[in-house]
Amino acid sequence: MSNKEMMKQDDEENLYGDVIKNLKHLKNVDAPDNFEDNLFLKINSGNYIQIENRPVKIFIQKKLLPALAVFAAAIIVIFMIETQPSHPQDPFSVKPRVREDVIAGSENINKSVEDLARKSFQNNSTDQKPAAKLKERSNPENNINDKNADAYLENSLTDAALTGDVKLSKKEIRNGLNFKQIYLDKKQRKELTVLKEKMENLYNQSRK
Amino acid sequence: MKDKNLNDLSDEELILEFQQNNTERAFEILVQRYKNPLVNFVYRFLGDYETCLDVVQETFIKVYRYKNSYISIAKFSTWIYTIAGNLAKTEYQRRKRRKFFSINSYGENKETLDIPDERYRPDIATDSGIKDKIIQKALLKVSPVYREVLILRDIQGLSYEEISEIMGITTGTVKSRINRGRSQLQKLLKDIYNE
Repeated sequence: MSNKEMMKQDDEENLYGDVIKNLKHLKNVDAPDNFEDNLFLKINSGNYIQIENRPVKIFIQKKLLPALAVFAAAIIVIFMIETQPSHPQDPFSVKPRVREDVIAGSENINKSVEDLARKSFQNNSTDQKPAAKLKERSNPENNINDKNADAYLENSLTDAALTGDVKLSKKEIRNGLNFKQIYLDKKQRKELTVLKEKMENLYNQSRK
Repeated sequence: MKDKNLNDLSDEELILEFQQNNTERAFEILVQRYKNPLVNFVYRFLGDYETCLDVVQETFIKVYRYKNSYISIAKFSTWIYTIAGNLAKTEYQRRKRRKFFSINSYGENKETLDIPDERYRPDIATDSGIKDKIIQKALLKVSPVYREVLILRDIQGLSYEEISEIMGITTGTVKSRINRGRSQLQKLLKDIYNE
């Protein structure tokens, strides 16, 4: 304690000196002689359990029942208000929910690839890079097999997107298509290669 | 452990002995040591001897039952004073409520309630016993927040640090509460000082 604090304390004690003196000289109140006997009697008889349980009795008191009833009613009312929608919707005006698990656009794969690729060729005949990429990828042995069909599709779409006509980010391409992914069988792959070759021919002819 | 040795142990060692070996004699010694200080403290706070004895007994019963909740880093005296203080405050609130309801429901025939005139009477103030009573009555009029610290400091003689531990407040708050309590008491006991 610093000197300043000690001085302050002394001042306060001088200010209330009489009060302090009176309180210090109050006669001590002692416990009765049988205090311990009563205490151990209580401990041994288990009477203290009743003392411990005293606060619990508050919940059983009859005078608190109306208050509890009001409280419970208020909670129920609040729940009812909360659960009811403020503006009920017309069920005929609501759009049906998209069932992503049901939509199977496997047939559209070929079409979408074809359309997108065609668009990219037509609009960007001057741009060499995507075309060159596509040329490389058009080789079915390199790019289209059972395992990397998905990657091929994605690359094709990305190329189309790069040309500017189809504005899709990679994330959108991955996540936004709601069709069932299937692997192409040999027949389909052949059809696809034929289509690619046709497109290449068309492209070469347009360049010439 | 022998009885003589147990008497030599500190409060903290005794409660540890009671915790670890369930030595009832250690608890008895603690009761002997603390019964009078606690009775004095609680009586000065509540102003009713019978209720005070109940509260102090309840305090010891709590110590007996929850002996394991005592942590050896704390002083035993602060722990037991905290328990007694909390029980006394609870009892004070209960009595206050009971008093409020009993006055309201007094007399079904709208009888007038006679409240005795307990103002300070100088003609009988010379007797020290009566002076004690007057101080006690004035003390009971001090608000309970200040009264507790006032009793702990000026009657029980505890340090500011001990009081701050017991009440769970800072030493600064303890000091300011003591001063406010003293100031309130001084105003209440004005007549005695004027004499």
